[in-house]
Amino acid sequence: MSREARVGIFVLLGLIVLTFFTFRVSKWGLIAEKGYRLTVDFDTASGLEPKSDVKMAGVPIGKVEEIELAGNRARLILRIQQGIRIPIDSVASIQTQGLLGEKYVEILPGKDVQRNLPSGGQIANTLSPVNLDEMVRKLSEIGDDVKKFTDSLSATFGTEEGKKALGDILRDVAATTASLRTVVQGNEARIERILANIDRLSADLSDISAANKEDVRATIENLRAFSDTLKTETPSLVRKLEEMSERVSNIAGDNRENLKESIANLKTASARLDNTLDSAGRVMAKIDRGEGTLGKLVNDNTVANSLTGAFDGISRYVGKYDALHMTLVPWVEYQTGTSDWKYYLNLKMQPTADKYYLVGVVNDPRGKRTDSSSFISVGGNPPVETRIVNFEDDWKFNALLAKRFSRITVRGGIMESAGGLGLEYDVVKDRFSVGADIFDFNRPENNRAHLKLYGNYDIFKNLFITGGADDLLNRDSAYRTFFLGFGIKFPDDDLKTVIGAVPIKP
Amino acid sequence: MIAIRDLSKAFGKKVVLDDLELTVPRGKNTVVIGGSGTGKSVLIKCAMGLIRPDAGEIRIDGQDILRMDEQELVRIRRRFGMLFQGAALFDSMDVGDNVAFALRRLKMVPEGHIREVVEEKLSMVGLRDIQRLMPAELSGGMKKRVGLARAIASEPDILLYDEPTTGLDPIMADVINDLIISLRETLGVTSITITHDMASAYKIADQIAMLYKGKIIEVGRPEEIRTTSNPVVAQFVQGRAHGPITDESEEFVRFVSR
Amino acid sequence: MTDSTAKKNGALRLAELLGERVHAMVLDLGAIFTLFLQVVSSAVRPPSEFRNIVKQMEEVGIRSMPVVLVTATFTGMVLALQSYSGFQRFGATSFVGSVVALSITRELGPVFAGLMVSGRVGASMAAELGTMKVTEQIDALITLATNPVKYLVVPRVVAATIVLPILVVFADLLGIIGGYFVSVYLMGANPYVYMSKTYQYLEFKDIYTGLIKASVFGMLIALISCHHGFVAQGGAEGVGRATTRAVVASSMMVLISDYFMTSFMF
Repeated sequence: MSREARVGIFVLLGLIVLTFFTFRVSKWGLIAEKGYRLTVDFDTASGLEPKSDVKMAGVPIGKVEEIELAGNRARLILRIQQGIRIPIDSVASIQTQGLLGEKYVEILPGKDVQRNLPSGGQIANTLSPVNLDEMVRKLSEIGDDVKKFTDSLSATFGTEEGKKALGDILRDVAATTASLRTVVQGNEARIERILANIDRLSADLSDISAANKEDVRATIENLRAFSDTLKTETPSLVRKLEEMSERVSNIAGDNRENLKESIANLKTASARLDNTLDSAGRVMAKIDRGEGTLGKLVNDNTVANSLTGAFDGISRYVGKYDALHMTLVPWVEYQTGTSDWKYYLNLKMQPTADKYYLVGVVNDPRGKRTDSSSFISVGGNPPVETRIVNFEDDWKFNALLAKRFSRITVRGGIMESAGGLGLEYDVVKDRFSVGADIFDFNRPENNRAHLKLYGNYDIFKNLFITGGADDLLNRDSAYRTFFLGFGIKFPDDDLKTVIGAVPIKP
Repeated sequence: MIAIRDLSKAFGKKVVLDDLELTVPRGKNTVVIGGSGTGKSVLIKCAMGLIRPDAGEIRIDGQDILRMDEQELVRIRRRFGMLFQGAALFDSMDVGDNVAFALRRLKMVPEGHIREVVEEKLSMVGLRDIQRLMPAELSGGMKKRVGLARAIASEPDILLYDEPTTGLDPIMADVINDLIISLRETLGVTSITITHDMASAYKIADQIAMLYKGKIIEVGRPEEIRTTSNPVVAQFVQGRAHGPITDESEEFVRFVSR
Repeated sequence: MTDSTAKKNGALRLAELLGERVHAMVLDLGAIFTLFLQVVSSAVRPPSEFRNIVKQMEEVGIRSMPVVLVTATFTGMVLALQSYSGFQRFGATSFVGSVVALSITRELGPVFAGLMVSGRVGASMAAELGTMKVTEQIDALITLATNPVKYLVVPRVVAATIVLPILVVFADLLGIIGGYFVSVYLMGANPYVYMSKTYQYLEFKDIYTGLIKASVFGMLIALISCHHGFVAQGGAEGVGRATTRAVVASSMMVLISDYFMTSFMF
């Protein structure tokens, strides 16, 4: 072959490949375009780009060719492949593929298969995309409703009449709880056993060690038996039991010695059962009839409706990812140094495996600080100022954003009503994790930030124990403490069942 | 006729040519002799316009080539042919293409006749049937002769020889000498030869010029040079180690004065 | 000599050396630009160098095909491998095709082809012209009424300018194919999705800007290599030095000019 021929072939081949490319690349030349054009108008084409896919039943059938403004709406010009027939009553919508994925135009085929859209035709029916703005608007509506609710609450309880009503309600509630005693009476033996178990459990937890692990296990067995028992009861009974066991555990925590006595009192009180049940029935009936502000509130459907609407909006948005796992996590911690209990209730919302949001409340035994000072003069000496710092328990809230990188989870946001950061490491995946939180960098008296080291161990899927050291950096050694505790995780499904069981609408 | 006046050239601080004067008569062979590194090659490269001197003039039939633009220079170069020291054959082409190079470039001969003409030129230097060979396959003497054939292919009227006999055995050197003489006789060309080979110089020269320290220090017919009274020229032509050249040059002193 | 003067001399020497280097660089730059002007002005003058251009196209183009194609294929493959494992982390593996295609056509195809050609062809041009220089063949050209720039440099520059984009077209193709093979057969990507993603975001602009770059690379490589060959002196060693300089300078110039072209074109 001559040199000229070789070079000629080389150049020719290059041109052929180049021509091939020009035909394959999407945004080039009119020669390569096949198929017919359709137009469709949307309120917004945000997120959509030329070359985005057009799909029918999930199958790509064309591309978005141009996006232009027609009036104040977005006009898309679609190029549909030859041979694809689109019924004249089809509906076009803008959809998103995956989380933060690309947008595409989905065409829901109509029923009128006899008449198809001609070339250059317009798809008249569109569905506007669910957009974030709309969701935010709905959420703010909810906010308004909540505000209205609290306003009316304060209006109710602020007035003299309200106070009286509240007193009535409280009395009724007291009567209601009293009626619980009947339930207790019916299951006296069992409850006694449960309480004994709880008692033992908390005793075990306060000095947990490798040596009495078996006990813990037994306790947990018992707890399980307890929860099983709870499950077998009717939902209302479960609810009542929950309320009650909360009280009981308070009693158990503060006043272990008096516990049995209290139970004895409970027993004696049970005599008034019928009476109180009647009262409870009367209150409920009142509320049901819409008497009183609370009754009105409970019976007013607008709040419930807008809540439902908003939830629909969210679930439509969220439902696409079908992955927002919610877990309600209550737990308690017993602080050995100060013999205090600290209560937590957190809601963990997890849209993807690698991140979650956490909101919740904490009851901190030293949540509220009051400083007072007094001057004491001893033996004619000049008065000495003595400062007294008092702590009372108070509610604080958490709002955290967490992101997971392999086994490490980094989280930050508001921790116990103060800015904070945390790091958690999964030692055994989904089973045992250790972590550190540091928050409240701006404490009074130049105190150092609040550092908490902890380890969580899941004994069962839904039950975990926790332990660690709290407030390690505190200048006052009295507040540095170890803690032990346990908690329960209510995952999605259980939570939904629980929420479902709560009669939001009467 | 080539007239060189006041020609100066320095490379950096080293002055190679210093107000050099030389007249080369038409149709004669002028041999420039001189030691290695005295600037002989620079002289003929200046004459051909390959090196631009710092000052002076070089007149070819009255035209100063140093005042010419590129176009005119290209035109005047067609009158030149040059034989390089290493022949400088284009080693990517065969002998035939080498010899035919200028003929093709300047389209002096139609493509159909090129082989004939090349064969004729090669026969003038005593070669035949080697057109297909590559330069790498040739001996030193053959290369020089092919180089000569290439230089005369475009029928120049001025020929420059850069050390034509250097690196050749005495027999081949004499063959080249004969060729130079016969080319002068048959083609009537004006030529400048630079060499330090005195046997060759005496044989081919009509006029010998001695280059020393950037100047032509003596010009004369071969027999005049042979019997010169100038001690510098005498030392050079007689090839003596002791004499004014070596006495003045530090690089020789160390060896010679021992 | 005291210590301080020695130090001062050292510092001065350093400054001098630096100055010399900068001076040499400026001279080189000037010489290359002058060479470019000479190429442009002599390219249009008769006689036509068509045969020489074709010869150089064979040398620069066809002979460079294997090395450029192998480089491009493996570049595409490794690109697919890397972006696949990276994109897997956020579930965007379907974009591997787009990433490979865009990276190859816009950047890696032209740059790697340019680097390969500057290594292979730049060296051979500098060596060939350097040898011609030290054996007086370039002087011989002049005595044969031939402008060496026109005869030697013009065909090389023209050929490299034409041929490099063609090489890059092949490199683009092979790079995409290499990425396809790795993704589909090694990583288990869906072949249809991969190919459609490859072309979905590829615009013709991506390809032709790559080809324009390649053209400029070709021209620069040829100019720089010819320049270094032309200024070679001092026998075989000088030729070797010229070759090294040509390769280093042209490779660097490919990358430097790539930055500027990219910032202007995109």
